[in-house]
Amino acid sequence: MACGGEDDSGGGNDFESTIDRIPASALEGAGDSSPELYYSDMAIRWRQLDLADADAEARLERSLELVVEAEMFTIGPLMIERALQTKLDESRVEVGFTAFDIEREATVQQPPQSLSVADVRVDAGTIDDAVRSDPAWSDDLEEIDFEDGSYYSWGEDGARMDPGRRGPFHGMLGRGGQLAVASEGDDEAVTAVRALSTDEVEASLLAEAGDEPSGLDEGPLVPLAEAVGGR
Amino acid sequence: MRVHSSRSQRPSGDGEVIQAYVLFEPLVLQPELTNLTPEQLEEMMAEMTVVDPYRSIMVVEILDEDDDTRTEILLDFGDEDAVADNIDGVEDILAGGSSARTGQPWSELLPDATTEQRGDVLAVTVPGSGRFRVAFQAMQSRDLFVTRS
Repeated sequence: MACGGEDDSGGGNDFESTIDRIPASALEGAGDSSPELYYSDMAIRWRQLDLADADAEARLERSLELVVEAEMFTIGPLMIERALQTKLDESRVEVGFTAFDIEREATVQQPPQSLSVADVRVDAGTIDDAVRSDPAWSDDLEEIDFEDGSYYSWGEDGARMDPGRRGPFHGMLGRGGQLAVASEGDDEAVTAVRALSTDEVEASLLAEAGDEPSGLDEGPLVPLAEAVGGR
Repeated sequence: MRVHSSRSQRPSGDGEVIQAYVLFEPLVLQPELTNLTPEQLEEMMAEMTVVDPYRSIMVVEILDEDDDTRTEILLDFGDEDAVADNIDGVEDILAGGSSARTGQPWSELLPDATTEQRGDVLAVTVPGSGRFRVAFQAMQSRDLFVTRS
């Protein structure tokens, strides 16, 4: 079973279609803190480096050489813990993909919360097989049905940590959280939503379905997004 | 209920967005990020050009159709008059200001930058590649287009 809703982004502008999956509610400040939004289109970088069709190992090898090249600096994916992104096999054991399979990603961080939406070049079945067989986390796995899709959950535990079960996807702190995967049949690419709370993953699914405002519909990102590139 | 009523009317713009970073608050110098004491910061703030508080700031790297890269820094003032009031100050910072953290002039860090009003947003465009990292790191250290606290 693939968890998630239907991917109705319809292609087009990748920046807007990715950001459009971030719910407006995720961009609201809480208390004295305000969120930070990160976006990276790694597919462009891999294309520039002639690595569009390369495997994760080749992309990792090249990325290690790029660290000192300012012109190729890229924020990169945050769904996979940055310090553990070189652990490709560990990442595959957890969720069936690696940071180097993420083609583009938008992440909102407002500690302790973090919400990422990403286009990932892996099929939903590979993710499903991985999360069900992951020796560290599969015992906690639940599949939650939701009005606009479904998602995997390892507990409502944004604040609860288990460093003994750390990993590239579950992070240095070993956090459970949620993962929704949207695909179109047997496509070899999916949209993945990673959250650390039920509220956030469900808000993202609602935004993607058009049942809740996205960050491009209302809120503080709208004037900036409309001004990008002199639009 | 569908709430994406305006999506189809949104212009797609030109070029591809490679990466972006947004902070939904104005930047204020912070002693712990600059290696300066609060007193030194206060002294520096008294001498430097600062901009009025804006609502949010975004840095974005764009690849255009000719494979040229540019970096844009967007300040959302939420008011067209506020943009007009601050555009000279932003140009002064770009021409004669320096990073509080490194002491390097912005004219070297962000060379050939130009400014433009886009409605409620003040846009700074820096041509060429490699400038996104400068602006990104400056934003993270609260050292770019700072406002008074």
